[in-house]
Amino acid sequence: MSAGVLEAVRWGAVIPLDHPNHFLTWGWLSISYSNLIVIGLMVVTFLGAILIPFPGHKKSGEK
Amino acid sequence: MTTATDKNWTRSLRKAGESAFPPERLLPDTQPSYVASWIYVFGALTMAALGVVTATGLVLAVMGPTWWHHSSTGHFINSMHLWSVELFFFAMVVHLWGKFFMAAWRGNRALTWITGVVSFVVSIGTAFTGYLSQTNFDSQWIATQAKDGINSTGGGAVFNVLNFGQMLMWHITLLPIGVGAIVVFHVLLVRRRGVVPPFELSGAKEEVAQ
Ligand code: HEM
Repeated sequence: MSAGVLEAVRWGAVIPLDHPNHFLTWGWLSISYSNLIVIGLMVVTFLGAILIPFPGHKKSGEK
Repeated sequence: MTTATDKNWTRSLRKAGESAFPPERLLPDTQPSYVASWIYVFGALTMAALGVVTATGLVLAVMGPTWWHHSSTGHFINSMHLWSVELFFFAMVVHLWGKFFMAAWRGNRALTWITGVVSFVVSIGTAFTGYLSQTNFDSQWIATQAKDGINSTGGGAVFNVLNFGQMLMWHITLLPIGVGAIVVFHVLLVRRRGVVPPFELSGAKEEVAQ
């Protein structure tokens, strides 16, 4: 195996995926942690898209 | 004898096309200043991801659905296909949220929103049939679970999730053609109507007047 592949295998083992998903269970709510993390990342990305200024654009009033 | 003023479908089609999409509206080089926000990038990001999905899917189609089990190149292309799909849905959801909070269906843009909704639903169908095309135990498991749900609706008579050939056909021809056509229509509608103006700030008019 090449060094690159070995590296990938080592990283793959950092987050073992070969088992059933872990779930957050809170009352009626049941969601896998992987789905929860992705939803969280989407919310963060959404907030970033609104709050981070777009490069090269001056706010109205600025000169 | 025909004259230039006679009814003629090619001419009326051309005229309709010209008035709906004059070149500067089809490919504009400027946009209103409120478009200078990251949130407007997500429609284009969704399209870019769809481009990678399509390109890698085409390679997988050339080599066949079991290629990725025995070739590391195949595995790489398969992973590219999977991860660009993940990005596609990720970007689409951020795009959808953005348009929802701008109420971007205002001003005669309902069809833009509706084609967005339909593209979302058809994309989910494409992803599901993709899971059935993996040719592994995972896809067999999913198919045997899905068949009960679909049979309970009666749909199993025409849409048999245990039929690998049928699912692969849906995944690599019918549904992608559907997604592609809807996206083209969606983006043309955006060009036709122009980007929706933001909500008026309450009290903004009075401030400007002062
Ligand atoms: C295949 C997925 C999709 C693609 C490739 C796509 C692409 C685009 C692009 C390129 C734009 C113009 C740029 C922008 O504002 O971001 C746009 C606008 C828009 N999209 Fe989508 N979109 C998709 C899905 C959706 C979904 C799921 C919805 C909502 C349910 C949606 C609603 C809208 C609306 C309402 C606009 C018009 C905004 C305006 O007129 O200002 N789209 N889309």
